[in-house]
Amino acid sequence: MNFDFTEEQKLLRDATRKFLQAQCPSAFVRRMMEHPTAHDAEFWNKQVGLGWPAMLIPEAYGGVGGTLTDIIVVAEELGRVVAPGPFYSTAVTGPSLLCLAGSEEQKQGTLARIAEGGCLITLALLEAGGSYGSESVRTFADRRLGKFILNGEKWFVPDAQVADILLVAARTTHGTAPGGGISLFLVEAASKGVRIEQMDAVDRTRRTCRVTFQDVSLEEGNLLGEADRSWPLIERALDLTWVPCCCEMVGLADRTLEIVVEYLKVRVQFDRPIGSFQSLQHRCADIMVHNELAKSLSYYACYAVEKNLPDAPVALAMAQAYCSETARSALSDGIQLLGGIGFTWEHDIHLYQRRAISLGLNMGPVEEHREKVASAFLD
Amino acid sequence: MDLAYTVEEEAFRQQVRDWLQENLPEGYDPDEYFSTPDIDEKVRVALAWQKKLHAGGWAGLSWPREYGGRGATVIEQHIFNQELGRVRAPMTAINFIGVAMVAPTIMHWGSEAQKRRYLPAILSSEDIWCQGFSEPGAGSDLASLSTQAVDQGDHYLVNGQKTWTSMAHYADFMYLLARTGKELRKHRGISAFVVDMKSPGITVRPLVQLTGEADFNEVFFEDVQVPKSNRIGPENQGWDVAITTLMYERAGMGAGMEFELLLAQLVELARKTLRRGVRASKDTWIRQNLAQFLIEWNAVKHTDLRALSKQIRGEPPGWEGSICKLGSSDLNLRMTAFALELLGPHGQLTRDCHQAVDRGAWIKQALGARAYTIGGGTSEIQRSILATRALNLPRK
Repeated sequence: MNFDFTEEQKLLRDATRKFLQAQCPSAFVRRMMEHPTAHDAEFWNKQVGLGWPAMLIPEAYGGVGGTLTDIIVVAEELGRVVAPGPFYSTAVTGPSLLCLAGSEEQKQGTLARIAEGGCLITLALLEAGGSYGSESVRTFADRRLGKFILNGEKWFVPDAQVADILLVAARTTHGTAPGGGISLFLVEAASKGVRIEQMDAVDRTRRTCRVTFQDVSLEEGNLLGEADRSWPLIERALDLTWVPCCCEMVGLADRTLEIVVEYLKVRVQFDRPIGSFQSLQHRCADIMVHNELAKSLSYYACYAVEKNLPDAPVALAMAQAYCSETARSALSDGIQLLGGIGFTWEHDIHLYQRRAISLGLNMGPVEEHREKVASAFLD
Repeated sequence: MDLAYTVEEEAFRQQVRDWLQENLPEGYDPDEYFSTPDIDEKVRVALAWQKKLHAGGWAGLSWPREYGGRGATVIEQHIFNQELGRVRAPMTAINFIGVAMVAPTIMHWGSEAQKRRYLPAILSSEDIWCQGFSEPGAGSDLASLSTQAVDQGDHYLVNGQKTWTSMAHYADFMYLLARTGKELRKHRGISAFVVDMKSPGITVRPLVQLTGEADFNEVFFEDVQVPKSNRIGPENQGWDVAITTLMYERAGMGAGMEFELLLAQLVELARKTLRRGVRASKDTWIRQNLAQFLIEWNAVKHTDLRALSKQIRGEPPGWEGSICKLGSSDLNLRMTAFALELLGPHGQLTRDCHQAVDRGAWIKQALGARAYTIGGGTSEIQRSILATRALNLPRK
């Protein structure tokens, strides 16, 4: 029984924190907000140097064969500094799907490129409806004369504005049972008929895009895994992605509390530091309680998802619901505690709030996570 | 991270389970046991149960062997507690103060004679203990206590009043905090004592709580003689002695199995309750609420497990105790209030009403739930502890 990180993981945390403190100060984050793609190749290359995109890739394909627990160590730290960059798409979702579904050739060809920083990859899944679930996939890949012709529109595609490869979830058969008829395609972002445009959204440090496919011609070799059978693999890759996202939210909330507490110690009103007022102290204590509880749920979800335990889906839904709300309320309360200064553009706290909101919403509404929990216990 | 139990630990769990199955009191009905208002009967069953545990070698499981314990590991104690909770064994609270609070304190601060005299009888439940800390004028601000113990040469003369004293009417001994140095600053003038509850001058008066039950007492001291040899630790160091005890109390609270069972019962209640002809468990609002309770309970449970994990590695405890107490006591309030909402007009029916659902357990739980945000350090005190000690916010 050990509900804690290994010594190596603790060292990884320290090294990651030092790296991000040096390389990702808020001035850099703000620069990325104004940047056309919010992507800085130099910053990313340093992450490649640290082996981050190689973490989930097996050694046989040029990776380091790390674990999801290693990933969450980094994710929590990313949250603490609101780090920009295509971490989840390229270091988690992409490699996970390739490992789960890819042919030997596809793995050989793409995983090593990802590991060495030669390729940014993302999953194009959601559509205009914005809801997860196989029935929402309308983008269609029509099989014609040994080729697939892809038509449709994907929304909320993370990091597509800089991606080299899009993993596109498309319907290949109509009228199947839920979960069936969905295939995955490996599509070069530069392919003819692919159009990528950024969607203006609250978190400018990580972009989300609308991608349209108009008669994009794909070969059999672009098919990732078996036709019509990709949905469970997509779900698994999403689970693996949401776990570190939950941990990033914990990092956001933890750092928010630190920022607030630091300020309350030095801000003097009525001739005393305002942190000595109990109404403010108790609000901070409540944030701390929620943060710690969120941490426990997200770590447990990591354990359950990594080991693929029977309770993994419920454990993850619990973490998603609780971490989303915790991060959002930590920020909302945190800004209240900071007072006027917290409501300025100049103060960094809104960077955290923007990230907390978008991370949470990307996973879907909290109500759906709770319903997942309810159905596991009640039906 | 590895949350699996080892083969040995699983074997230990099975051993506990087997023993419990064979040794729980015949015809034991936990629903009846925990809902009965007959406190005397409850205590009688609990005492008999404690003695059975002792005879089975389970008492003081994690005590060091030199004091008659089994020197069990932290995780074995955890497994044992889980299994006791799972079968809803008779209240272990009857001897909790002795086993989990007084004994560690005596092991740490007591003289050899005190260890020999008190520890074995705590282990066997021959002696039941109560704790004389709170006073009418000293609740959250414990150090302001005013019960006096005046040095009379070979004994102290104790005068004053204690309150919220659980088990005082069944206790053989009290672990008392009293003021010995009136002129000293408040934390520094306190000493700890063992008081024989049969001493002349002690009056115990049951304190009826808002639930109608009387688990607590007021205890009055009028010129009670306490031998010098009954002092625990040096004179005027009672505050440090008490801190040792409270550390053990915090460690003993946290996430209990009874919570998991209560939630399971609530889920069951939602399944069997009809609202406007439809099962309540099909209603979206009810599902969302129940899911939230389940989520928060799991958050507390996993936090408790993180604390346990720290304890196993021999690391000092963090703030998990306060966090779990705040989280679970608040959840308990909302859960039990929610059960009443589910029940509608039925929610008000009490145990003695034949038509009451679940023997009126929910209204009892809902009224009783407030105890947990007050006892053992109010939620407000817990928040202040977190703010000033964990977050280092200034006191002034």
